[in-house]
Amino acid sequence: MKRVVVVGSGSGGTLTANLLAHALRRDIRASAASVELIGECPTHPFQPANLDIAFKGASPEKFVRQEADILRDGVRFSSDRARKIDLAERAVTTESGRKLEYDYLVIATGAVADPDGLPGLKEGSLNFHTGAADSHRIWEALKSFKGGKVVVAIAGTPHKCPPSPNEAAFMLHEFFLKRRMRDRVDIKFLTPYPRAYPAAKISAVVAPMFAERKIDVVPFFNVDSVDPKTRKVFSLEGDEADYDLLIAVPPHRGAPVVKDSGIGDEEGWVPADRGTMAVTKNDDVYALGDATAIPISKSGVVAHLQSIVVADNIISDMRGSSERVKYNGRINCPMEVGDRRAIFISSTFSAPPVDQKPSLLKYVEKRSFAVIYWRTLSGSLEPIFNIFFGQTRFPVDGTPSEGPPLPSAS
Amino acid sequence: MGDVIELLATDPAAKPDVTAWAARSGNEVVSISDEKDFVRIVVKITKKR
Repeated sequence: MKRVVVVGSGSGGTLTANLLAHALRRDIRASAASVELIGECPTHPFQPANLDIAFKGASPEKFVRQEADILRDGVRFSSDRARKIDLAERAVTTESGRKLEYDYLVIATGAVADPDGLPGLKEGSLNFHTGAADSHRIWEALKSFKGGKVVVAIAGTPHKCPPSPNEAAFMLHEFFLKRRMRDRVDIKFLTPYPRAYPAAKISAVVAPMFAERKIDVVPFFNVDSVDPKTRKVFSLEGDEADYDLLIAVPPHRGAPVVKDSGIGDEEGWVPADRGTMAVTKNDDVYALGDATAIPISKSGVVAHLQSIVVADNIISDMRGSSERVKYNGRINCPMEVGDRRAIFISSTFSAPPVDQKPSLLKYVEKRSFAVIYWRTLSGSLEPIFNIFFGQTRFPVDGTPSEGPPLPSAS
Repeated sequence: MGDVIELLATDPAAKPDVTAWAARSGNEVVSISDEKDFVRIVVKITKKR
């Protein structure tokens, strides 16, 4: 009996469990394999919708499903919290007291946004990174906002969904424009990066659009603290910014179980091979998605593409093959820029993001993803994604190439 | 104040970015040197609020 335990039921954990359950369906029926998924929550949110909930007033309940309803036959799911991961014992202990022994472990425990991570941040700011309910609080605040200084701040890196702070600024502009009160609102964008977006080519697209919309970018602003009483944000560099409404991306860290088990770095990120996704010095443990220390976007598409690599490599090992595949670092993150337009930030480990022109087509593409998301988690759309993304997996023992540069998009 | 930070970066963009950060924040770039697989940047903290 080969036992796979997947810890974490976000996009990556769910897809990995589904891919494994499908590929191993005969083994599972014959009791020769098992796929056990543990997740903290019985429900599964579509996280990109937090922007719509916060800035367009979308209903949170539209974007959530029962985890059990999106799992394939063969996945054993329990809503439980992993307390301890013991790599030497090959076992995961849960909050309910269960001890799950494994032959293969997948760590997909995600990232935790923590507004308590900086002095005054929790009291002084709202955010759309800690779930749908907190995102809805932004919408409530916007509805009653009479005018003044609105500040969007990136108060820690890395954070989930790199384009989302920029999207928030664009969506705020549009919200106030529609309410005919844009002239009564100053929008300021505080970023620790040197420019409007970390990747220079994307920043070259975003910066002029921000300027045109009078969204004031303050680069090199590393948030140090917030004073909710005087409504000021302070930076490590010694600058400050006044606000009436502060929307801040909180500092993120890895899941508590990672730190408590001594398998992550100081911030709780799991060190893993950026190609095979194997956790450093372990050939039976993989990590993927937001949980890893790999310097790549913490985003759903990355978790998705890494899940396929992990599932492939586990199945290959189970079948006694030494063949492994590696991920080429492909990302494809949409950024909505308002007026029903979007761009996509696409790159690989060897090819930086390419130039972009905002388009309606890209906006529709982004929007359609909200509809197909649930089906993508089953793994059944992989043939379509393989065409869409091109090759994202390469043999480990093959050529050193991680694929050709991406074509320049228009 | 006076702390010296040595930064090792594999991203070539670190050079212009750190230089721009130091210029804006009023801190000092002591040296930038290209090593085999990375760039070594030494920064002296000369301004702190």
